Amino acid sequence: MERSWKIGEEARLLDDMPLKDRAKIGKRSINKIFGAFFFYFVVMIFFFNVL
Amino acid sequence: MELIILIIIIAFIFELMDSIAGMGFGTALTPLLLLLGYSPLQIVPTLLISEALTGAIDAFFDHEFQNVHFSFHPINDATKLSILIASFGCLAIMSSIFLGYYAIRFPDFLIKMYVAILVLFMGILGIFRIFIKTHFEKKRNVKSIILFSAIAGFNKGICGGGYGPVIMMGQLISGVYEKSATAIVSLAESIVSFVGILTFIFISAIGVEVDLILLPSIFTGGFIASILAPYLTRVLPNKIWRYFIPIYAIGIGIYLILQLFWF
Repeated sequence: MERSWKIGEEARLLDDMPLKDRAKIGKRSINKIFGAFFFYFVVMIFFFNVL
Repeated sequence: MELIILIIIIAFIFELMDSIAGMGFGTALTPLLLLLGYSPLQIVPTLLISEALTGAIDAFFDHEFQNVHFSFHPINDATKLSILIASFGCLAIMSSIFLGYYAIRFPDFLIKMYVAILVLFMGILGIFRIFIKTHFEKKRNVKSIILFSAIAGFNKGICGGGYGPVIMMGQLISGVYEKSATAIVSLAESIVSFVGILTFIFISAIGVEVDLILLPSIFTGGFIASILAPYLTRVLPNKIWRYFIPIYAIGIGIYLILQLFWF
């Protein structure tokens, strides 16, 4: 068994980058945010009509 | 059901803090909602349903924004740790919901006092951890994670909160990077909350009434925060979170103690 967690390596690498680069997100991420909002509306319709 | 603006704003603030610091949604929101006149059976199931959904969204965007990397093929450390934390949390939450709502009624004051002191202690431990690097942080400490998971699940079952602070500090003490630890808490919290919902469905089927009037408002506020928080976690440097997380835990502990004696 390895002696340390292999967790957060990407986050550590990202932390070494300048703030401007960390603030940038790709088009794929923006599309996923839109997808999340679609999910939100589906869930709200469920809450109001089924529950 | 309706959308209540005040509840949306409160849920947004507490979910934002919860996603950033890995704690505070149930622990701090429950007493506030009690103060606004809502009953435990209106609050706890609602928080569980909302956290199951927003926790999953938060973990998804933490992965997307590279605060953590979850992988199932092959399964990596972050995923293993989430499953480990969630498994013990699930066992604890099932037993404690039955104890709290059906079999044994715990004295309210004792539950709140226990959670407040525990959260305060975890925050102080987190501050000490920054200055005193222990040998625990240099290696995997699976036993302590198991212990923290069981305690945290129990807390969540009896009062809807006290899960995040224990798990979060448990991870930091065990050497997990702050930004990733918050994401792991979110995923584990989502799984545990989902099991909590199933347990509530079961106990409501045998006669305990639950009321979901707050659900759309809590979910709306929580949803917006669960997208914004992973982005803020990504953008701001980790050293900010190293100090912010334990200080926030101490703040929640003090808030709970004050709320116990003054409200």
